[in-house]
Amino acid sequence: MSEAIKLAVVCGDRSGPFYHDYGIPLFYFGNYNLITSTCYDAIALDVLKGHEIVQFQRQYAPESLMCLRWLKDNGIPTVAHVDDNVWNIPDGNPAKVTYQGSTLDRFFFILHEANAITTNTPYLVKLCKKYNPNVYLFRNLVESKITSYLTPGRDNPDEIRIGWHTTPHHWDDFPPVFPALVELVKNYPQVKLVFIGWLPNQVAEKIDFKRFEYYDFVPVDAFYPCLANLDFDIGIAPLMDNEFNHAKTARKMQEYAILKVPAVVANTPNYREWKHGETCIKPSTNDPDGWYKALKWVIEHKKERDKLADNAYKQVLMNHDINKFIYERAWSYYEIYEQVTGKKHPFAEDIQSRSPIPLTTTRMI
Amino acid sequence: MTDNLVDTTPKQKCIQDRTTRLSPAIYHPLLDLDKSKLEKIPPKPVPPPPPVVKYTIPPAYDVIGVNPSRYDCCVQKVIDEMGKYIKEFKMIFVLGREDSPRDIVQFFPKYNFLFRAGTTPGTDPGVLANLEAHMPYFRSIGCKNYYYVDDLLIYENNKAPIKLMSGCDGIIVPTNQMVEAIQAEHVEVPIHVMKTHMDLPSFDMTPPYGLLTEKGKVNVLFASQGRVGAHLIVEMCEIMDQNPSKYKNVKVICLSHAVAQMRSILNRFRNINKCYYEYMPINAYYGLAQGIDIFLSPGEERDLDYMMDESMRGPWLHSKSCHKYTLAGAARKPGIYSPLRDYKEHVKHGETGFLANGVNEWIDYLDLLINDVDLAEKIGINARRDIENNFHIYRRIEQLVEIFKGIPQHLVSKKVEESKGISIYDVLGEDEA
Repeated sequence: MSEAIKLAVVCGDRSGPFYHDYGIPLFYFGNYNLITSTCYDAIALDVLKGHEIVQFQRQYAPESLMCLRWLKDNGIPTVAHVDDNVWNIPDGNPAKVTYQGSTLDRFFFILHEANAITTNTPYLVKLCKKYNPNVYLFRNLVESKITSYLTPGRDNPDEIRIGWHTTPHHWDDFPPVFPALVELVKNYPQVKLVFIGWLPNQVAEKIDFKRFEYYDFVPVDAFYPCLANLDFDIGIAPLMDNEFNHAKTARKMQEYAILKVPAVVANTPNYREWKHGETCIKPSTNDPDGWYKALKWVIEHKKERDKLADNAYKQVLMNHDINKFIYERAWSYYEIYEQVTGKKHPFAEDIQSRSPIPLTTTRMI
Repeated sequence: MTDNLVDTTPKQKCIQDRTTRLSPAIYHPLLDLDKSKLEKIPPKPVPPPPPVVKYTIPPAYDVIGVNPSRYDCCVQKVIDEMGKYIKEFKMIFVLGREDSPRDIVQFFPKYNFLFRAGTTPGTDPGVLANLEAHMPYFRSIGCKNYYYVDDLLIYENNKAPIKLMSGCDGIIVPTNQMVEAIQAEHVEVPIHVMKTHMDLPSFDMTPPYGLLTEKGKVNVLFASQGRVGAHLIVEMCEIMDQNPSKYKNVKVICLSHAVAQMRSILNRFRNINKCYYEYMPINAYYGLAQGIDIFLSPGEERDLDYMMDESMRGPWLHSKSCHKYTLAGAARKPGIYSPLRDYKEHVKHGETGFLANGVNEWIDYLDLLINDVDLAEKIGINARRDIENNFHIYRRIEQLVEIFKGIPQHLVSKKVEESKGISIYDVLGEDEA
């Protein structure tokens, strides 16, 4: 009897992107017996050579490149992963500190020399294609069990909590929204702002401290229980329409959707999947006036915003439920294996027969 | 051939261009003007010359505090708080870069004070080896090394802190439990117990935090880093949640790093009045404490099941200092504490606070303090007197200076004992104070 493919993931960090793309999916790979996977924080050739395929996550050290070459020489398929537009990072963005100079060069070498690249958005696929023709697109996966972390009721039922879970990387996305929030706080006494991950300076400076709450980063494995219990009534996802942001996924919207939080998201290509007025609200213009009107409407229309949340919940389960689409994610690795080695993995047929969805290629041509 | 006398290679051209741009004496257009016209042009105001920089080397400091990864409460308590009162030494704190001696050497210190060095899980072994190698180097330039740690983190990174301690001239810890743990690792360096302190002058100057001045509310503080005390707080909240009318005036204030985690476990108790604050700078923390009525400091072995082996949980908990007691005392308020070793040594049960085991005892003492305002006040005053007499920052400063000067610890203890300050209660009497 054949066994599932053995995958090794060489972790660059244990941050949110790692958790979403590997931490959670790897757990489901095991649960559904799709892939036997192990994560490694350090590179050790004698350990990696025991695997059938090796994924590199956020790797740019010299030894990562040497390791990748050694694995290829030994016939083990290698996969690089890209989760940000490293080609066009705006000045001032903290990511620019990481992706620069020889680090960036090595990152490109790894993209170029790996057997395949995995990435998260069609925009990144286009950029990666310049370095490697074999690019596979990962669909964002969302765990339906997150809903179970929600606590019924509210501490203060009259309050309307407008929340944003974010990081300092979004510092330049916030200015169009901030004046709108100031106005809303002034005009609606029941509005309270809730931030987790990053508190923009201007909030602490301009808004009365009784009108906002701030929660620091939490460990990634505790994130969803924490997010679910911040009691967001409305979630926001500001984003500037620029090249760096085009590479971002719509994960924030997906998370609001699974938590049944009605959302106001920026009208950028990232949220194309989510329709204005059906599953979310999008400001007509990405400026204070547009955001104010959008948020005002959501605040004043409780029934309608509940309906938006219901629709979004259904849509996220339809398109991103990890229990269904984990098969598709696993299938990508079997495809890469077949493409590199020239033979079908003996366990591939087993997966095809069990999959609840038709398995088509995720390779982008 | 004469044309070739001028070298027109790119390099020469570049020099020519540069000369054209930079030599006003030759090419300045004003040279073509009449002198009379030139005089009519008003002179431009001459800007003042830039100040002469006299310092080419940074000022010397006597004590350099070095922390491996972050600016934490230990650094705040020792370098920031104690440093401002110490006249004998000039102290400064240098963040991170434990692998580089340059950051430290540039200050020409007499003492190098390592805070929790090597205790961050997963620190690069190369960094640790480098840091260890710097100990004799610092000694060779006449700089003494001291190690300060206030949690039982000495086993991290394959006991890297122990190795670093062994290379130091002295170790400073806040509790006897920690001394025993370090001695058990056969470290032969002198270990000084410097008990926790309270910066009463600063504390008394800090106004209460604005959000906590609601009239008629009993503010109860649960402050915890990590998950210490989380089980008991959940059990207490469960009981309070079932009796909403009884506890309607109680406000539970949670203070923690990454407090969203605490919120995620307490959010289901919707009948309790709760609020959450992130870890804050020490002055803001004192402001918060000024607005608190009852302090809770639980800590049980079961809280640590996520982070360490069962055999380690007891020693780790008992190595904690009675900091929360000093905070409550400073605020003249009562507190309820788990009977950890340092608390048992300093809290007089029923006089300066309560030591409680199990949720029923905790709830009983909480009820007692909520309902008996006189008792709560009396305990608060007793605690304040104890803190003034035994935990005042001035006493620790004397001790720290003596440690640095190298006086043996037994003499230091005697000296501190002799120089015991006079409490305000001894002068005014309890009522007036």
